[in-house]
Amino acid sequence: MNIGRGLLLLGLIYTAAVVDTTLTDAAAIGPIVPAALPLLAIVWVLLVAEPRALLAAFLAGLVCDLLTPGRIGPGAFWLLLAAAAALRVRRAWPAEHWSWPAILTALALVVWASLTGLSRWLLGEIGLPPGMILQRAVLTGLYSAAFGLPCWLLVGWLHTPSPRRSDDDPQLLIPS
Amino acid sequence: MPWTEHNHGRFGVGPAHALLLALGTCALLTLLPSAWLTPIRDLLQQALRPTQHAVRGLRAVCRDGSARLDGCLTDSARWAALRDRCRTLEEENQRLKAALETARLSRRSSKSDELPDTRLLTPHLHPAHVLGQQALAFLGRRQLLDAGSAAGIEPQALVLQVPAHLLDVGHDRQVQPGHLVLAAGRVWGRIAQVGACTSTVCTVWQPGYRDVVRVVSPGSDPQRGPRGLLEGIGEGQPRIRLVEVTHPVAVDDLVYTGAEQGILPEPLLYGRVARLERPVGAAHWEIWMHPAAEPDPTQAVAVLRMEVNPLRSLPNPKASSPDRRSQPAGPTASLSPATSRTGPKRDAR
Repeated sequence: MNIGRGLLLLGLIYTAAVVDTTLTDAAAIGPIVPAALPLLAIVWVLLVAEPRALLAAFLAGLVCDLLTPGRIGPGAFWLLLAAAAALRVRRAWPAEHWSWPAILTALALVVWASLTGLSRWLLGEIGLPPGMILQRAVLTGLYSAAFGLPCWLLVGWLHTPSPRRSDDDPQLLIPS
Repeated sequence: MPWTEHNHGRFGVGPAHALLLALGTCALLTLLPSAWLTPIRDLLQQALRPTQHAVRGLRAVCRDGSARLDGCLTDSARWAALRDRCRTLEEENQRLKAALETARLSRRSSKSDELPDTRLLTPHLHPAHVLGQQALAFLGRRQLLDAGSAAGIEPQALVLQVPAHLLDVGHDRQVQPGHLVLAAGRVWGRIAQVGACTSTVCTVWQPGYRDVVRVVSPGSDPQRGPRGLLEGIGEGQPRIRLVEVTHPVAVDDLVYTGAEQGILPEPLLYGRVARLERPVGAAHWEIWMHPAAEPDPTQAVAVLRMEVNPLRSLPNPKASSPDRRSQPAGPTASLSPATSRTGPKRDAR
């Protein structure tokens, strides 16, 4: 990872942290609040598609844990693991269509939210029943992944091959 | 880069090992007490605070702008509604002004015109009063007392049913079944049965009530609308049937009497169209009317009675006048108002 990309990653993590602490409540649907930092981490990992990109997941997970009351570590642990699994799947089946990374993002976020919630429930930090925790975690993961759809649409549009002009195309010949 | 490839990085650690190291770090951090990491939390909060303040300020500005925009949109919608209402009221005012002017002109012309009313039938309104509960009870007692005596029952005395509307006019005022009963100038019902001094009314709402009506759009000539059959159905609003779907009918169209042509100068108002349906494949509208008269009028009502014009029943004095003899006499000369413009009064003098 070069210095420019590292600085960009730090700036994005900072921005996502600010968004998580100031703006996400405006997009909340009841108790379901989108998570900007995990979304950024998964999108970054799937975009860069290198194992070194997992550093983004580690950093974003740590910042997310620091901004959340409770112990530091469970969020980062499961985010790192979910990002690694998503990267592994992405590299194993490198589909070109934009919906494939979007689905991977949703799955990774659902896994991260569910396992983090259950871990915090085991640590005694959440008093809700596990079923409700899982339900909210699934909804949180899906809702957060929905905010990543524009990014994947943009990537898909950028990667769409433009029609090339061929000089041999008889339809483009202008009769003199 | 494959995960199993031994491509060690700058620090001599492969990706798999780095991942395991990071996971181990996270697990160790989980085991640490939260209080130990409070300074790091505070540091992060301090780093985020300026941007958070800026974003919150920006959000407040956006919220104020959005509220202001909402207020503007609400005000504009309200203003548009008020403007529409104002336009409607202005149109209504214009219509009423025109109607008033027409009425004034017709009244003035009827005053200045020396023509006598030469129509064959002339309407006469007899004021009547709807008898209330006490009056009904009094009449009922009287009827019971009369029935108990030897010759107590009067000829043509009514047998009262309590829910029926009873008027205090009867044969003594030449009231006959079928005469229209008006309340505040609107059709309220029709005389059903006539007694010596009282009569019952079948109102527009009651089952069995039937009359030919015209459905006219507001502002149109009330004598030029499609005809239909008004029926009271007992509950709810009366229905109008037999209006063909080829005629345009809309809600709030006015409903006038349709059978008094030649008797009344203007048809009487029944009410307005409250609801209408057009069943699939049907040839006629399903129309429900909201009567203009109140179901239980508190004011005095009037019975519309037809009489033969006494001017028409008199012998035509012009037929024997010297001026008239010089003119060719046609079959309609004796009935034509133009030929008797000043005749009857002059002759009467």
